Amino acid sequence: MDVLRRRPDAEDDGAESFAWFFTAEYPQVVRLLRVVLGDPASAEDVAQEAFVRLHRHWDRVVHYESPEAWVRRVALNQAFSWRRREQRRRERESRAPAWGTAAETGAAGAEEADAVLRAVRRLPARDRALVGLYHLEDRPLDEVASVLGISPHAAKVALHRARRRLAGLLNEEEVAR
Amino acid sequence: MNEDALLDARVRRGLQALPMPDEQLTAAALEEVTRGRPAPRRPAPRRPWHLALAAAVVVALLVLGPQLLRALLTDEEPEPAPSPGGELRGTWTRTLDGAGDPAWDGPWTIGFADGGVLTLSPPRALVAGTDGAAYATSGAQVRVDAFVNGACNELPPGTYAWSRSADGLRLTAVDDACAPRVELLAGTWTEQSP
Repeated sequence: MDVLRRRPDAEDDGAESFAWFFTAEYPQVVRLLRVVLGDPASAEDVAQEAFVRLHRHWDRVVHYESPEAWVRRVALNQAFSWRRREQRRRERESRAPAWGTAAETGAAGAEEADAVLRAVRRLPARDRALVGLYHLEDRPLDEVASVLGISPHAAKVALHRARRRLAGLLNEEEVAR
Repeated sequence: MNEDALLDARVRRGLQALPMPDEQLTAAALEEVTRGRPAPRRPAPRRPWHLALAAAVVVALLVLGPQLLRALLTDEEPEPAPSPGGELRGTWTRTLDGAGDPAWDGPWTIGFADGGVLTLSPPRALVAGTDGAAYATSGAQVRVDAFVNGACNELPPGTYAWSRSADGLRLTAVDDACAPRVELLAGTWTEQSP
C-alpha cells in the first residue's frame, strides 16, 4: 500500500494513516464513481459514504492486503444501488458542481474525452465500473475481477463485450458529430 | 497496435481527462467523513498487564460459554439463530430476471433451516459462493451473510424484513450494502412444494 509506505511517521495513530489514505484515494474513487454514476454530485456523495464506512472499520481494513480494493468494492456496491436515492441526487445536482466535465475544465482533447464519457455512460452500470477500473485506473484484470466480485474469466469476457459495445457507441458518436 | 489496443488507448485517454476533486475539496470531504465519527481506535499498547487482562478475559469467556464468546467477538456476523419461527423456516423459490449480472438470472431456491443454516441454490449457469451461509432472526427481521466469499466479499451481512402473505414469503431490504444480494433476496419467494 504505497500511501501508507509514504507515511512520514513510524508511529501510526490510525487517524493519520486514514488521512493519508483518504487524501490519496478519495479523488480517484470519486472519479471512478463519476464514470459509473455520471454526475459529480452523486459521485462525491457515494464516495463519502464508502469512506465513512472505511473510517468506521479502518483499524481492521488497514491490515488488509488492499484497502484500495476494499473501498472501491464498497463504493461500487453503493453506486449500483444508488437508484433508490435518486431523489436526493437530484437535489444535490441542482447545486453548482464544484468540478465538471473535461470540456468545462478546458482540458486538451476535451471534445474527444466527452465523447468517450458519453459512450461509456451508455453501457450498463457494471460495465461502466469495469471500464472505469480497467481503463481509468489501469488496474490488472485480476484486481478488477476481485473488486467486482466476479471471476477473472468472467471479467475478461465482460471486458471483451464492453469493448465491442464501446467501439460501436464511439462510432455512433463520430457519426453524430 | 491492434484494434483493441487502439480502443483501449482512446478510452483511457478520454476517461483520464476527467477532472478529480482538488486538494481543497478533498480536505473538506475528509473533515466531513471524520466529523462526528469515533476516531479510529489506536492499537492497544503492548504491556504485560494488558496481556494478563486479555488472558483473564479469554478464560472468562471460555467459562461463560461459547454463545457469549461469539456474541462479544462477532461485531458483524449473524448472531446465533434461535429456532426459526415456523413461518420463515422452509424452502422457497424465486426466478430472478434482469439482474446486474446476467449469470444470476434464473430460478433460485433459498432454504431457512434449523440452527441458522441458510442454503441457496443458484441457477445452473451460475456457480456462486453460497456454501456455508447463515441467518439469524430477530422479530420480523432476518440477517443473512450469503455471498460473503463472493459477490459480497468484505461486506457485512444484510438485514431484511420478512413477512408471510398468501403469495409466499416477502423479503424487504432494511440494510444491505451488497447490491447483488439485494437484487436476489428482496422480493416475494414462493413456497416450494414438499
